[in-house]
Parts: sequence; structure tokens; C-alpha cells
Amino acid sequence: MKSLMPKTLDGLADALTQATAQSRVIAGGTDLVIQMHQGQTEPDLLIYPGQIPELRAISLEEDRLHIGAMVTMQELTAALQSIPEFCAISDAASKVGTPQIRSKATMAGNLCNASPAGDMLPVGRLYDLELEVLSKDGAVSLFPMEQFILGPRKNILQTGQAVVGMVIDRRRWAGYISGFRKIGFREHVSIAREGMGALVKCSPDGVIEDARLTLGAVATAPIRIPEAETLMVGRVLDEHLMKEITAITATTIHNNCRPANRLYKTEAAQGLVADLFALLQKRA
Amino acid sequence: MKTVGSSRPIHDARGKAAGYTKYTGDIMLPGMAYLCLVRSTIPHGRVKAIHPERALALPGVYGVLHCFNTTQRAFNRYRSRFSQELPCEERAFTDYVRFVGDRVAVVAAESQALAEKAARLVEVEYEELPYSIGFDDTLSGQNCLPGEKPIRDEVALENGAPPKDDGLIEVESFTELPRLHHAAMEPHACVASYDPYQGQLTLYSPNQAIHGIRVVVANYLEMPFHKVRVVKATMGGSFGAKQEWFVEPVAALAAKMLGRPVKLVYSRAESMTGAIVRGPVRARVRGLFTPEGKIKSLNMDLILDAGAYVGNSSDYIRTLYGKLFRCYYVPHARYHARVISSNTPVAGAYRGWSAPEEALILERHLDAAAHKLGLDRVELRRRNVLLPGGVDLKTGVPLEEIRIREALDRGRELFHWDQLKQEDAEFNASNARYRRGVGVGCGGHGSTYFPRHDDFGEGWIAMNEDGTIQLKITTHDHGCGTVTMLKMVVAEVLDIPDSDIYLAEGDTANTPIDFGCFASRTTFVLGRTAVETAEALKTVLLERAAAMFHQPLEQLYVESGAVRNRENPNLAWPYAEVARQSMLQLKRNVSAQAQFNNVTNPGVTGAHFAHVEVDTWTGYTKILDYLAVQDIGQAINPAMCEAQIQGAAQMGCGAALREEMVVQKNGQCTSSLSKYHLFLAPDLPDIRVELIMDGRSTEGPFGAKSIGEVCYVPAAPAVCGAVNNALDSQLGTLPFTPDCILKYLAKEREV
Repeated sequence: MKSLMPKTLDGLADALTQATAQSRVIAGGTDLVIQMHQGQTEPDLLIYPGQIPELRAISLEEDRLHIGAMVTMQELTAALQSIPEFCAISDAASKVGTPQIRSKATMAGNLCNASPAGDMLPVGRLYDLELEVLSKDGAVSLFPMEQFILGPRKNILQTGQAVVGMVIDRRRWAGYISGFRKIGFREHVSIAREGMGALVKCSPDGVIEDARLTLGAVATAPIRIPEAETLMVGRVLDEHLMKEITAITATTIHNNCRPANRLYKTEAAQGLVADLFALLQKRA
Repeated sequence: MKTVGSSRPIHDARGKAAGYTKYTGDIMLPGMAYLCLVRSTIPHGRVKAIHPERALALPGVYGVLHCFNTTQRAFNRYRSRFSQELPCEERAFTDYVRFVGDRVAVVAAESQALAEKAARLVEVEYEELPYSIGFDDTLSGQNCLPGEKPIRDEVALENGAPPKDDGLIEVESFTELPRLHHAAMEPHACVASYDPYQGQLTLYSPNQAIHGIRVVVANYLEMPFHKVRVVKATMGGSFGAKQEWFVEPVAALAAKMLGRPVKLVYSRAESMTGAIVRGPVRARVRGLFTPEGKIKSLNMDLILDAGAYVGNSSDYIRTLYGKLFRCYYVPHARYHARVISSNTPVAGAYRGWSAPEEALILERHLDAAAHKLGLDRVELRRRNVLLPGGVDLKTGVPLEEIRIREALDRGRELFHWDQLKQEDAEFNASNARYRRGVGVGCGGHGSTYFPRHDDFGEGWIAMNEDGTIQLKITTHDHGCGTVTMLKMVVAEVLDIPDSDIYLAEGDTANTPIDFGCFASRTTFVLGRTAVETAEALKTVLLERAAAMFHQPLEQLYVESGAVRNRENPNLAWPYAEVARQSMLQLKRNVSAQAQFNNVTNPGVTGAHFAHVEVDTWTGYTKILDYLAVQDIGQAINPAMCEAQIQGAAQMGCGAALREEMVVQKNGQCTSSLSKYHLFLAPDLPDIRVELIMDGRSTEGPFGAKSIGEVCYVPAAPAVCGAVNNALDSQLGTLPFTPDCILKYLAKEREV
């Protein structure tokens, strides 16, 4: 196995020209290294883009949030936890695995791995996030999340392509509050059994003007809950609304998850929604 | 006492924390081959053919050993001494596979990665047979071959006479316990080296009985005992998982056949499914109680699923019965137990060796009895626990200064049991989401094999020219500090710092015969052996000093590392001087040996208390507070005992609330810690520990009794009891996962 560690974006494009169908781009390696140890993948070439400065940066620009592909969960948490509209990202990033994992794992890697339980998937979907894909010819193209993820552990990337960054429209979400909660088998160091993200815009007197909700780890890809989103408009974040949203969420989970986990996941919607609401109420 | 009863870190704590300490997996020998096993991918069937050609074609692959090119001889993984009557039922590689994970072949290669790659290239052709994975399908005979019966062993035992009293109240309970993984941080491992010119085999492994391995491997490979050397390597935890032998015989066979050293290190998946598990147990208990809550009779019916091989399960069900008499006064007990064999990972030893299972069943039953009789759960236990001076009704062995009632009383007070019950009731009445509850669990164990097997220990000791000590006692430290404990005991007798003593762990070539680390016997039996050994050395020191320095022997004594004269405080001979003069003047080394054979097994018990909060909207259970009260006799190294008890509480929380190895319909078992949810440090409050030290043993070192296993026994029962208290439920099928709890609540809602 060969490895390449390009130091510039051009160098990365060059490295990608050497890639075959077996080659892999490695970010934090928290998924890939396990897969390699288990013999599920035997790359002929590993490309590590961690030395490219642009890929390590998070930039909060006037019109967009740009997250480099090598930004770790820990860095993401630190950068976004005090920005109300992006708290959902830091909520999710701060609960991935252990501190050790969070200092290596990346959001881009989580999206590329495309595990249905990946915490960054429902978050990406929440913001209509777009991924920047670099091709070996040096061209960068943008793909929305829904197009990028094709199914469990499947993405759109082809041989000779790599994700270099992620973009979120900042103007679109200005004035929103956000949050993410998940339920796993334990409180810490846990893979999500179900996760829920929310973006809510309230008027100064607390009336909801717009809302968006996504669910992760329920279906094979993150899903939105349009019925609940519509219901929230014109209401306030109170207990009555919470109960109605719980009912819709539970039905959505029931209709979308595998039978084996249906009872638990449906029942636990009550706790998931309540905890998410508590978070939003605190931030409103 | 200067040393015993003071706290200090275990001998290799700093090295382990710094990453310096070397484990078996770190051992490198010149020319060594790495082994990787090829395991059955089907739950039940016969191997028709093996095609190793693609593996052998890879450069750097030294060989593929499999069921068709290795010996037909067999061994018994559970043997730990020469005198056990056990069938040899296991081959290194089998052509008749009984579970997903059974060993079919092994690949030897120049690197671990290559061995793993080559193992994936070995093709195995199977003829599949019908299989079973649970209690019901196995009991129905689904996996039986012609002539086989589903019940592999059955036992009926009874003690005392059935009660004739009127007005007794009958209580029934049902408990089902899942398959558990030990989750030692270090996986199973062995390095084996064979010198064909001297016919000498050397094995390094983290294990609990070097001499047990020697018996098994020497018999298996038809070698004399002195040609098999087994070395206990530094261990990263066992919890019983490393007291049965499957890595050692396989590595030994491979080293001998290949003529080069080999290293076999299990992956986590292999340690989970290819080693041993705590087997699933299903039990029904019918008890008769007086209206005041006194146990009059217990009638227990139990099934243990041994998994693919019977292994230790026949002994396990018999041992379990004996645990009924180690904590409570049970005037009449009737017991019926059966062993079945499904096509699942093999059941084996697990911390507590059936006592934790017995406690989960019995404590569940006592909670049910308290519920039915309207009695407080602590009070009901108080009325039934064994008292000082009592006797183990099964064996007749005196329980001596058993302190279980004191443990209950002290725990009730320190835990504010009565106050918490009241506060929880108020909390639950005013809270829609969370429900709180308290639980108590009791349990007993032993400190030695006695009287099931006779038990003894041997020690060798010598003094160096500078007065420091070379000690040889066969120790198998799991990481729980027995090396430090033995040094402290010797230091106390000789009145020197424990840092002046060298004690290596067990090595059949260099340390005396020993039955290994079983039955929580190390502190009690080997600790006392260390006392006897140090006393023997002290006698030699005094005699030599008397002879060399012309002193009356009866006036001499030792203090602070010197021989002194009681009548003349100015006279003192430091140990170094005695040792040197003995060599120079008397031409003799200062050394001694001693043997100790115990004839007691005092009652050793604990009472644990848990306070939990159940989130009825997610099913999570949070441990709010936990108190462990242990009847320990003298704690030699109290901080280490506390740490061990805290670890037991953590393990018990896992067993009660989360841990479960699930076998899927295709026979695949949980094989990753990502799906086996251990309790982690952030999940726990500070585990409070209270040691009761006045129930001292007569034979243990300085009055010590065991701690390693007994402290795990009451843990899971206390947590289960607390959950049932919180939900006002009678759940008996473990673990009480969020799924289990939400399922129960959903059902309750329908009712």
C-alpha cells in the first residue's frame, strides 16, 4: 500500500490522478482504519489531505459557512457552539464517540462514510449543506447532501474525486436557533439509535415563523418531517406543541424504521423531542 | 501493623499507565510466526474439505494447519489440575463444527496483517446440519444428531426436610440471564516457542493457572511435564475469561509443528465469540415463607445453555446450588438443573463462578417475596441472613465471623435507605417523566477451594546479600494487585518496606506448584502461605544470628529490618549483615520454604445498595448513588480493595442494564464492543465503599478474607431491584435495557 500526503489543493488533484477504484482518501480514519483492520477494504493507495491548510479551516463568511474537509469534530464544536444558527452542528459534533475520536474524526468523513447512524447526516440535511468535490483535473463541483448520499455507506464520489469542503448558506439561516439531540445505548460514547435536528426562527414575541426538522438513524438516509414543520409555524415552543410534534415524529419514525427497532424508536420519540425542545427553549 | 492495612498502588500500575509494561502481544522472538485462526462461518456442520492453496501461495505464509493435517488427539479446556475427571473433547481444529467461530484451521505467516489476509483466503467446504440458538429450540432437540438428547447433564439435589408448618406463603419468580462477555481490556494471547533439540516447549500467556496449562498441554502433546514451561505474563484483565485453555494448546501445537516461535493474539471479536462467555440461564423459583418473611423452603429449577460444548457447565450448575448456603439460612432447598448445548459460543468461567447468577435469581425472588408479604426488602433480608457462628448447610463448614447482617444494617443507615424510599415516593408522585427507586442485593462466596478440593500453597524465600528479599510464590495477578498484596504480607512479618521484596509471577520452571487463581483463593491461601514463608525465613535469620553473634535465641527478635536483642537495645544486626555473615561464616544462604494447607472457608459476603432514576420517555436508567458494603476481614491493601469493588459495581451495572450477547437467527453472535454496551466511567456516580473488617478469618493472612469475586455478586441484583422498585414492576429478564423498559411501559399502558 502506497500513501500520499499532498500539501496543496493542486497536489491533491495530482494525487487523485494516481487513484484507482481501490484507492481511498483518509481523513480522521475513525471509520476507514476499522474497515481496513477487518479486511473489508484493502486500499492500494491512501491519500491524506490533512496537510493542506485550506482543508483545515472553518470560515464564517458573510454569506456562507465554509468547513474544510479535514476540520475535526472537536474543532467544529469549539468554532460553532456559540453561534445560535449553527449550534445543531456543534451539538452533534460534540457527542460523536470519545474525546480521542473527536480529535481525529471529521464531518466530511462522516458524510462520506454515509452510515445511516452518522450524526452529521441529519445535521447536513437540516441546513441543505452542499459538498465541494475536487476532481483529479482540478475542477471543484458542488453537490447537495441529498444527491451526495446514495444510500447506506454509498456516496456519489467516483475514482479520482475527493471532498474538500462543505458549504452552508449563512443568509438563509440568519436569525434561526438550532439544536440536535440523539439517543444511543448510553449517554456518552454512543452511536445514535435516533437523532433529531431542528432549525427554528421565532419572532421577538416567540411565535415560530419558520421551522425545519430532520431525523437521523431512522431510515437509510436522513429524513425531514414536513408535517411537523408546517404545524410549528404560528405556534410557540410550549408543551402543547411539543406533544403534537411528538405524535407526528413518532408516526414518522414508526413508518420509516426497520421493524426490529420499531417499538423502541417510536416510543423513545417522546424523550427525543422533549430533550430537543428543552434545548431550543433554552436557546430561544 | 505497619504495612498491612495501608494503601499503595499495585506493582505495575505506573508502567501500565505509562504504556511501558509489556504484554504477551508485545513479545517478539527471532523468526516468530504470527497466527490467525480460520473459524467456522456456519453454526453446525461437517467440514468436507479445506483448500489452503491460495493462502499458501502468498509469499511469507509459513503454513496452514487444519483439521485434516493435525493430530486427532483432544484436550479439555477446563482442566486446571491433574486430578479432575474430565473427558478430552476438544481438538485444536475440528472437522465437526458446533458454532460460528469454531476453530477449523490456523495460518502462520511473517506478519499479523499477512496472517489475517491469508486466513481470509482459506476456503472451507461445509455440509450444514440443523442448529439451535436458544433455550426453546435447543430443548426441542432441533440440533441433536441421531442418538443425541437435548439434555446434556441433569442434577437433582436437596438439603434439609420440606417444611411442615401451616400458613406458609408461596412465592414464585422467574429470571432469565443473557450471555455475557468478560470485556477484559487485553484479549486472549499466547506466545509459544519450541526447541526441537532439547525437546523444550515454552509458553507465555496471560492466564490464571500455569500448572493447569502444563497438565493440559503436556498431555495433549504427549510431553513430560518438565519439558513444558508455562510463564504467566502480565495480564490486562481476565474476569474468568483466561482460566480455560484454548489459545495455549493451539499455539503449542503450531510451534511444535512449524519448528518456530509463534504468536496468537485474539481480536476483540474472537475474544467475544471464540473464547468463553457467561452462559445464558433460565430459572424458576418457588419459595415458602412465613408471614414474617422467614425462608422455609426454596425450590429452584434451572437451565444453563452451555453453548457449543459442555465445557465447565456440569460443574457450574452444581457449584451454583452451593451458593444458596453462603449468605442466607435456607433450611430446606430442592434444586433441579439441566445443561443444554446450543450452537452458540461456549459458556465458561465468569467472575463469581455461578454465585452472581445464583444471587440474581435469589435476590429477584426475595424482592418478589417482600412485595407479596408487604415487607421492606432490607428487613426481609435481615431476617434471613446467616449469623456469626453459622454453618454452610451444604458442606457443614463453619462460616465463622460472617458479617452480612452488619453489612445490611450499616448500608441501610449510610445509604439513607428509609429516607430515600420516602423521597422517591414523593418524587415519583410529582414527576411525569422520571421515576426513582432503590435496590438492595446481598451475596456470599468463598475464599478457597476447600472443602470441594483440598487446597494448599507453597512459598520459597531467600535473603540477598544486601538484606532484600527474593520471594517465589506462584501468583497470577489479573491486575488486581495480588503481587503487591503478597509483598505487603511478607513485609509485615519481616518488618521491612514492601519495596525491598522481589516477586515475579508464576513460571512453572521457577515457582512452586499451585492450583492457580480460582475460587478467590489468592489472598486467603497464598497470602497465608506468604506469612508462613516469611515466618520460616525469620526463624532462620534468628537462628543464624544467635549462632554467629553468640546470643541466646530466645532473646532475639526482628524489628525494622534488623535482628535485635530484647535485653540489650544497643545490640542490632541489620539483615544485610546477617545474610553476609551467614555466607562468610556459616557457608550457608539465608533461605526457607513453607507449605500451608487450609482447612477453613469462612463466610465472606457483601450488601450493595443502588439508587436509580429511570427515564420513562427514553428507557435510560441512570445510577444516582451506589454503596457497596463488604464483609472482608482484614483488607491488606484497602485502596486496592475499594477499586476492585468499584470495578465490580460498574460490571454489575452493565450486567443489570445493558450487557447482552445476542445470537442472530443465522448463528452470528454479537462480536463488537460497538454493539455490546459496557458501563463506562462517565455513566457512574462515585461508587461508595464501606469495608467491614471485624469479621476476621482464623486462617487468612492477618484475618483477611476474599474480595475479588464476592464483591461482584450483589452488584447486578441491587441495580435490578432498584429499577423494579422505580417502575413498580417485577421484571426478571435481564438486561433491563432501554428497549426492555419502554416495551414494558408500553404494555402496561395498554393494560
